[in-house]
Amino acid sequence: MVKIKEMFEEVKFEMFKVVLLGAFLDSAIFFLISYLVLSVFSIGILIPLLAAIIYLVIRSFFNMKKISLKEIEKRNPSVKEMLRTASDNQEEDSFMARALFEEVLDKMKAVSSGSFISLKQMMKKLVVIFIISSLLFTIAFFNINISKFENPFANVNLNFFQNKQTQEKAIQEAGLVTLGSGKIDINLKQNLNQIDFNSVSNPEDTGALADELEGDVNAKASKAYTKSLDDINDRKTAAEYSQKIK
Amino acid sequence: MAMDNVKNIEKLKSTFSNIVSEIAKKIVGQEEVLEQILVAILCDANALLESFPGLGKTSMISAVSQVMKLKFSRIQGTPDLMPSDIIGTYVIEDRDGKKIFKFQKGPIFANIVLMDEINRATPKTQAALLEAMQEKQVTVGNQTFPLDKPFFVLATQNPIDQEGTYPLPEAQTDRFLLKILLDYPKKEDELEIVERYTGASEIPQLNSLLSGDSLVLLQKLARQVPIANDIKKKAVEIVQKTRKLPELIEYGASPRASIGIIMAAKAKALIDGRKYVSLKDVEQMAHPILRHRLILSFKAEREGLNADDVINKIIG
Repeated sequence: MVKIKEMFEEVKFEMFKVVLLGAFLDSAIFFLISYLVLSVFSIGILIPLLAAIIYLVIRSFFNMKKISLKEIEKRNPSVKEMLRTASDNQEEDSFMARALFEEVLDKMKAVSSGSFISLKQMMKKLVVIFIISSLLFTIAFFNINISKFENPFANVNLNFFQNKQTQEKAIQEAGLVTLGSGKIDINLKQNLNQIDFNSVSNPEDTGALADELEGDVNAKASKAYTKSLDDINDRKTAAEYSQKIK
Repeated sequence: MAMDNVKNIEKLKSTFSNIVSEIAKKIVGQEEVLEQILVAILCDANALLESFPGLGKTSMISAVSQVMKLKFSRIQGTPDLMPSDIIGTYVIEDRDGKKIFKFQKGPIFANIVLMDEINRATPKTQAALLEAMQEKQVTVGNQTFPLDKPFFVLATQNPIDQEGTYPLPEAQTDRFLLKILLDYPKKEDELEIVERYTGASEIPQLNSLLSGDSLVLLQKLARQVPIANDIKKKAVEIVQKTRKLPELIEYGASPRASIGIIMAAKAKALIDGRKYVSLKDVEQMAHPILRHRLILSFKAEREGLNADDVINKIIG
């Protein structure tokens, strides 16, 4: 009787492994498809990854409920009706029940856990994974930009974990305050993302005082952005603007 | 040793096949009827046999009792049959000059009792028999006499010639586990019957293959055959459906039928040498278990449906 219980524990564990494998493949497909779709919206890998993990858990739970001894019997006709009869009567200790357990134990030795898996379905899933992975690889290799839309979460302040004090401290850092009484030369390079702060001097080093404004702040654009203002209207607008900021 | 148990159970299949083969020396064909009689015996229950005259009912049951080495008695149902003619009565006996009352056992004190044409006996006599069947004992006066074990009653009914009969009410037929239908033999079988019973050679004697004690053990084993929960549920669902089909069935079967189907399915599995009940066993046994427990509606009878047709519709 103990042996039959052990056998069913093993069968249950094997079924769980099969279910987990199937759910893992399904969630891999889910992850790849959602990553592909969300890339159109310029959303990174984190959200599809989290969604795939949740999908894996839910899928495993529901698949475990669906799989039954009947499925194993279908794939192994030698134990048809016998397996679930033995399972339902595990607590029986009669002569007939023991004879049934012996026969089931004997026949289950010839059954491998591979028979619990539907190879056809498994192959289909692997093919789908391969196709989508190849697609993603091709996009990455050829640096194809599939982002058609802006990230809707781009303007959301994700600095949730920065507390007020940290923010205030940041503001109070003298080195971070660029406006002051000294001259600041900022070279704007061709790529707007790169600002060369090497030319910026610390206002304290230049002897500038925070409350004194000396002269004008001259910002020199690099060559690429140099534009001679030939048009008189443009010159007027520029002059008015520099008056304003003074 | 473990596998010996498995082999022993499988040997039972050959045991039952041998019993059928042995009976076949006297009875031609009718293997399905024989199987159902064996099922009833293994379930320690009783069976009702509906048959036209001259189909070998007495010969068949007599052959079963010979092969199983069981005491056999036959009771012919007649309108003047009294209960004491079945169960026995006290008679005055002269012993040593003194007169004493001694209980003389009736024909019911046997292992296998064939009650021929039970519907010809009066309701009072029918009740005496049915009571003995139910209680497995007989009470006369203030004394109780237990019946022999194993005890099996095969009651027969003639579907024709109903004049002057007292048909068993449905409440009484419910006490029989199975209703077995014995039909006319096939042409080849009838030729064989004619060959055997009109030829010069004698009918061979039957060998005893099983004893009463072995049969009691087999009855215990039949009860032990495991059954899966979903197959058990299926059996109960079949019986429940008989109560939920008012357009075809006026009165459905009682829970006694659910017990009967499962017991009969277990016995069938044992006869087939299996250690578990199959769904096929339940579906096969549903017919003899249910056919005498359903009262069909007028619509069903008008459509020419019999109980077996309705059971087929229920099983699907």
